[in-house]
Amino acid sequence: MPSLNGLPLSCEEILGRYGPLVYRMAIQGTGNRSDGEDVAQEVFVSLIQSDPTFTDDTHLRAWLIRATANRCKSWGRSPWRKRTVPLDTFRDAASPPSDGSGVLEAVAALPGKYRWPVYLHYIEGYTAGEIGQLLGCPRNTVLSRLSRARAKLKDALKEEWS
Amino acid sequence: MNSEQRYRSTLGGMTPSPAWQKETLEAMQAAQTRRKRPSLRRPLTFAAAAAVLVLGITGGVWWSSRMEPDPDGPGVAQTPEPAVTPTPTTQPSAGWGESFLLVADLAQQLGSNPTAGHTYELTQLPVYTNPLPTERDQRAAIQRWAAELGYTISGPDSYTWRTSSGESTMGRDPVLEATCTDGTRLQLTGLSTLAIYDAPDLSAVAESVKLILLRNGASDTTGTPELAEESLTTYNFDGEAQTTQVTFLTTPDASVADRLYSYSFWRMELTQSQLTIYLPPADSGTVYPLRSPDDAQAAFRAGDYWGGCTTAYPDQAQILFVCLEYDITPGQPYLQPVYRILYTQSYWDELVADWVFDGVDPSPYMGLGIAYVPAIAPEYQDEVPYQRYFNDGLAHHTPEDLP
Repeated sequence: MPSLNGLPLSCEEILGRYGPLVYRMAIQGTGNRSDGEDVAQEVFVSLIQSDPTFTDDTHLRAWLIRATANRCKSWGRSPWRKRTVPLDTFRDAASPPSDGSGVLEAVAALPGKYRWPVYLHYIEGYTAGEIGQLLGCPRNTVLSRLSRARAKLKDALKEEWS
Repeated sequence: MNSEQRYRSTLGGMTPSPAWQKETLEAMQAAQTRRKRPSLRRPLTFAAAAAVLVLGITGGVWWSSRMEPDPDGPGVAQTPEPAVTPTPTTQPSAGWGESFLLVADLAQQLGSNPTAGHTYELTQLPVYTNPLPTERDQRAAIQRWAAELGYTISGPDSYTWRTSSGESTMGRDPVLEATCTDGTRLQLTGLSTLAIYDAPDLSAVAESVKLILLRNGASDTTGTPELAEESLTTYNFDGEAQTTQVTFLTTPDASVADRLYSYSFWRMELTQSQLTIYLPPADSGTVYPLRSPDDAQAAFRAGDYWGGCTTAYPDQAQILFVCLEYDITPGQPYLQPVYRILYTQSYWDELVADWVFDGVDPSPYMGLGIAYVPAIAPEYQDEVPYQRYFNDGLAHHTPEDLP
């Protein structure tokens, strides 16, 4: 089993603590709830199969976030998916469940390098420094990307972001 | 409700359904029963490459495809000690929790530091105070810089001031930001760093700053300074390069200590989106004795070092390069010299493959750690305490952190 600080984690503990994080991120990354649920499940199964050892909660979260981002990216270009998903559905896949305001679609339409910092900051509450560690880039790069993302969202939504 | 609030309430409110949780739990439990430990993905090919580099060091000559021909430059290194390549005894899984840079070539972080090959010659250096300015002090400074750069600050309402340069865990320097009439933003951190963002033509600003460096630096440095450059590159996990073009003043005939001063404090860094000017200290400094390069390496190997990179096994690290520089990062009470130690671990090659995003070929990259060790002799460090922050946190690693 994956372990945290030397203590093994049960499947129930993992799902209870980190389920919402991976679930939301996968929906944001794939663009719809159905695909997001599949990706999120894959991430947790992969965690069990990989059996890593984590020194603290931050590293476990970092692992899950990287794994989810990776799977979301590969999900969109999966040959199986491209063969089996109708073209119109696939074209719409960048749009997550709508709240009618277009805000989720606007975030989903951002390039990944802007979308993930927005998601991690505004939904998961990570600081720019923490996001930098998760994505492997300096804090200033994260701040710059958040700034540019806000400008793009302002253009797309025709109103100020925050 | 604005768009940010709608985003938070819509996506943040999504929770896994009981059906999905049940199905996922069953899938995890099924995976647990059939789990087998994956084999290592690739052999530790980097160990051999690192050994070659270490061999280069022990011979006293740095090899680099980007090496400058200048015999006094970083191409010739008087290294502190022949680096020893310990036999790695750690497992790749030990790398969880370690942190390092991705580079394609060691040369991407070597730079043109004037102390390369001269670290033993420096036995003392000045330490400068980094005063805590008031908002009024900062306004006066940013207005001087705006005038010098040809900017017009939009008006009294365009200033924003905050007490720290980062989030709550970050240092002590207050930050003043001003927006100019063309949309350019000037951000002054303490009195030591001026960043320029959102300039319509950042490269044109860079040319102006170079002239300012030459003009103003002539009165603060010995001899007739010239412009010199270095380039520092790292890669994100998605493979995107982050390159910083650095311009600094140098005086070829000046002492190593004087060249280190110009390298650190008459300096401009340019990235794709930002230009940063490092401003010289206001005082003339107080000279302190330095610890030796050997002592600094011993401190690192014992686990006592600073910086965003970290390893659980510093005693096994392969030290590739050592130089001295002034720490000019925000948040510290004194601007003081530090040893910059570049190192790697043989098992990081495996981690690189794990960490890069899907679709990114890990083979061009190597993991490179940078450890910073205060250069002031330990018996004087209480007088000039050292602090370094990374991504908002105090980045001090101690022997107690080691497994």
